[in-house]
Formats: sequence, structure tokens, C-alpha cells
Amino acid sequence: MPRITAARRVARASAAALVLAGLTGGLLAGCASGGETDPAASPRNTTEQSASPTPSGDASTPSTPSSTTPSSTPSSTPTVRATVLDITIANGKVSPNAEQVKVKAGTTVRIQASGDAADEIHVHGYDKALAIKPGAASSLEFVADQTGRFEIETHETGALVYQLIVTP
Amino acid sequence: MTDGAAGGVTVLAHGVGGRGDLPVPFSTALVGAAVALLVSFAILAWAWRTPRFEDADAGWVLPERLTRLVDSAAFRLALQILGLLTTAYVLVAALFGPDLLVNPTFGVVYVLFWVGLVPLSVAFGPVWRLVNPLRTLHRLVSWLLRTRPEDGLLPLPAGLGYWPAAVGLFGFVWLELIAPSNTTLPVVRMWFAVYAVLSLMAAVIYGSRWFDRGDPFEVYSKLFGHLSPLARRAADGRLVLRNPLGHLARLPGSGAAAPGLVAVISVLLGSTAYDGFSQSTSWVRFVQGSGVPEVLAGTTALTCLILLVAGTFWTGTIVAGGMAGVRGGSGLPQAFAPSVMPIALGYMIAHYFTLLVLEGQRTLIQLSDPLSNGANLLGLSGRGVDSTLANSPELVALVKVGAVVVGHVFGVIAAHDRAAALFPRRTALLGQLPLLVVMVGYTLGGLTLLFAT
Repeated sequence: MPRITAARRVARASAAALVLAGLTGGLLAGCASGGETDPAASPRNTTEQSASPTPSGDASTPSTPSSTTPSSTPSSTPTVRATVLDITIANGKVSPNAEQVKVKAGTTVRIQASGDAADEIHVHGYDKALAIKPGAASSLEFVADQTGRFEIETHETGALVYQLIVTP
Repeated sequence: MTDGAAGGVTVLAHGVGGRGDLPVPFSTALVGAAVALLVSFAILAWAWRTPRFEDADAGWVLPERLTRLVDSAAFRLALQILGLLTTAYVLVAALFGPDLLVNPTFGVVYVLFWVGLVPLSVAFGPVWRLVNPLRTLHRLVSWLLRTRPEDGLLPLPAGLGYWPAAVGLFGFVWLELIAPSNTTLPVVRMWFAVYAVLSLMAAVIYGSRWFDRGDPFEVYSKLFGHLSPLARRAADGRLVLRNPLGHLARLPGSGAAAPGLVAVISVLLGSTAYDGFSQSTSWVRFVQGSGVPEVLAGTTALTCLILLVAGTFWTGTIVAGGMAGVRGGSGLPQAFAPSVMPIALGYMIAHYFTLLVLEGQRTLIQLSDPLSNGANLLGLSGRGVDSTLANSPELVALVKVGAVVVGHVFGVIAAHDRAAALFPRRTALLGQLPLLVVMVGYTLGGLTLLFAT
């Protein structure tokens, strides 16, 4: 029969208190910040602008990117707020290099690509493809309605251009 | 993935599946880490002093009929034929199907087989040795040659142990994670052709005993199988239901040496860690920007992670032995290696369970049309994948963190019990600290991979 010394009793009691305090604290912290998505990676390459090249485009001021105010124009067709992802291919190098972009589900994503060589952009998960012809710019638009992580890459060079993270 | 869209061939950078999981929220990972740490110290504080899991005959004995059924020649033969037929079915797709992602071969190899074998083994024990088609082929060859399958030309070398399995598993994870064009048929066919030829040659030379410790997938299934509640009593081999940690303590088996066991477990843990690590944008950015060939960078990183696991574990156990005042500590890494298996299981669940649920469904649907010619052999063609799981990122995050934390807790319990068995009573607690630090390191590393990549 092992003798439980007084010292061991104290050690057990303090360990119990520590465990309880820690678990309570940890759970409270978790619940309090629950639902928050990681704020660390701010979407650096997202610009919100009105959809100027499309027929429904209007003459809103493009100089202040944050002021997408469809209400300021009397036009009945609402401007589309889109997250624009630019892709350029020059001299065999694809830019950007594995950029992470976070958007909320339901956001319209537009990919604008141009390059000096023929290639194809693939958006995995959404199964979209955009062909790049040398000299001409092309674009592809889709609504990011599925949550998850999606790779956008070039087919020929096999490079990851963007990692699109769609949060709920 | 094309979902039947005409002509849409997509070459994926990271194997099958186009929709990845969201990173786990930092707060969830933090709570998980806190729980893991606190429970670990609580276990130490309330530690039991005498080992509880070392009894080889413990367990709730199952009916005699069940043991006789499982051990019967007819049952074994039926399972072997089933394994052979399933392999043949997939071979048809692999050899005669189109080299597109709708070919079920890739899903079978990377999802149903590699990931699916884990829950199957954790539930039922070392199942792969019952259905391994290579074992069946070898048995057939032995029957034709009128020799016993167990007999080979040479006895197995003593120091070989699990090393061939470690090398084979490294080869497979390299194929799965790094090999260029690994979702094309020629690469997959080549890998399995070489593997099959080498395995059969080894089986002919050393007998079917080669498969027990030399075949990568049998060892893979065996290690996870030791986490199953379904075990055998050492005394008479009867099937019993017992505490999985008690079953785990039977590895490597009654004090027998197990060279290469630490290597196998390091490959398992390191490769799962690499899988998560290699998907982080910072790593991809580094590799793409540096101009280093992707294959070289990936292989180096994979090898480094495996060596890191092996090195930290080996050091942790040797230092533990030193602190506990145990002589002859060189056998300690092998003795403690089984306690890493729950952590490895937690890692596997965290990284692959959504893949199994989602891509597994897709693969089963694809298997209904193995030649992609419109057939519907299993009645599943044309069905869509039920993606409810993918639409619940909170649940997915909870399962992932939960798996890593629970795996850690059971690993600590297993290590503690092993220490109670091996170390003198007075120093057992002290001796466990280095190993606890190593395990906490693996868990914190695993949680970091979940939220940061």
C-alpha cells in the first residue's frame, strides 16, 4: 500500500486546482472568441471596385476603392462588388507567387489574367478554366458559394498562383 | 474534379480532391493545446504506479465459435479471394481505363486504400494480412510449386525487423505526396508493379514470413490494428475484447526486439506532418520563388520531418532512461514506440478524415464505371457526392483538433504505463518528463499545422 505523503497530497491538490482553472479559462477563451476566423492574414490583393467593363457598369468614382456605393447613382442595375485577382505571366514567371486570399462565401470573384505566353488558369473545386492568350487580357467571374480552400494555378507552368480561402 | 463534365481534365497539384478544408480557427487550436497540456500534467499528478496494461491475457473473451470461424481455412480463403477479386477489378480500371481523374484508380489508391485501411484496422485489427493479394499470389505460387508458403530459401535475417516496411512506406508516401504526375496512370502502375515484383521476390526468398514485418501495408495495418479493441489472448489465441491501450502494449510483442519500429512510426508521423506543411502557402511560395525543383525541395522537407520525429523521439526516450536511472537504454526507443501510435492516429484523422468521407464517396461512385464508358456496375453511377461535411467547417475543425488532442492524451497514458513497467518506481515519474515534452511537441506541432497551413 503506497503511503500518500502530505507533500504528495498538496501536489495533487494544486495540480487539480491548476487543471480546473486552466480548463475553465481555456474553454471560456474558446467560447468568447468562438466564431472568429483567423484575422492574421488580411486579404492583401483584394480590391473592391464596381464592375466597370460589364454592361451594367456605371460612372462611379474609381479613385476611392472603398466607396462602392451603388446607392449614389440613380441607375437601377446594382453594381457588382467583386474581389479581383490579377494574374500575369511574363517571361515564364507567373505573378503573384502563391498568394493567399480570403473572401466570404457569396462574394463574386473575378480573375483577370494576361500574359505573353499561352496558358490556362484552373480554379480547383469550382472547376473553372480560363485560357490566356498572349497579348490579350481575359477574365473569368464566378460566385464563391462553397466554403473551403481552393487552389488557383496555371496549367502549363504548374504554379500555384492564389490559394482562395472562402469562409462562411 | 470534373463531375462528368465533358473533356474537363484537371491536373491537380496535390493529388485527388479539389476542395480543401479551411484552416482551423486559432482559438480552437489554442483551446486544444491547453487541454492537451493540462490533461498531460493531470495524468502525471494522478499517475498509477503499477502498470495496468501489461497483462497479455486480459480481455473479455468472445465466444469460441467466433475464434474458430475467423481462424478457419474457409474464412481465410474467402477473404483472400475477395482481396484478389477486388484488386483485379481495380486493375481493370488501372490498365484499361482512361488516364483521367475520373478513373477510380487514384481514389482507390490514395483514399480508399491508404486512408481507409486505418479505420478498418482500428476497428478489426490487422486486416490487410487477411486480404493482401500479394500474399495470396505467393500462396498460389507455393501451391503450384508444392512448397509450403512459410518456407523460403533463406531464413529472415535477424536485424531486418521492420526496416523494409519503413523503406516501403517511405516509398509510398513519397509517391502520394511528392512524385510528379502521381495522378497519372503510368506513375501509379509503375510504382505498384515494382512494389509487387520486389515483394514477391522477397516472399519467394524468405517465405511468407516476409510479409509479417517486411510488407509496408501489412505493417501499416498491423500498427493501427494494435489500437483495436479486438485482440487475441496470448495464452490460447482466442479473440477477446479489451482496452485498446492494453492491446497496444502487446507491440512489439513480449519484449521481442523490433528493429526499425521507430523508423516506421517516424515515417507515419513525419509524412502526415509533411502533408499538412506542404500545403501552406508560405512553403509553396518559397519553393516556387527559389527555383529549386519541387521534387527536390519536397523530398528534402519530407526526409527532414521524418528524421526530426525519429531524432526527437529517440533522444527523448534515451534521456528518459537516463533520468530514470535505467541501464542499457538502447532498447527504450523501441519499447516506447507503440505509445506514439495514438498520436499518429490523431494526426491521420485530423488530416485525412474529410478526404475519406468526401473523396471516398466520389471514388465509390467512380468505381461503378471503371472504364469511364458509361457503365453502372455498382449502381452508383451518376450520383453526387454528399458534401454536408464540407459545408460544416466548425464541425470539421472540432473533429480535427479533438482527434489530435485525444490522440495525445492516449499516447501519454500509454507512455506512462510503459514507464511504470520499465522504470524503477522511485524514478518513474521523473523519467517520463522528457518523453512528455516530446509528445507535447508533436501535439503542438500538429495543432500548428492545422491552423497555420
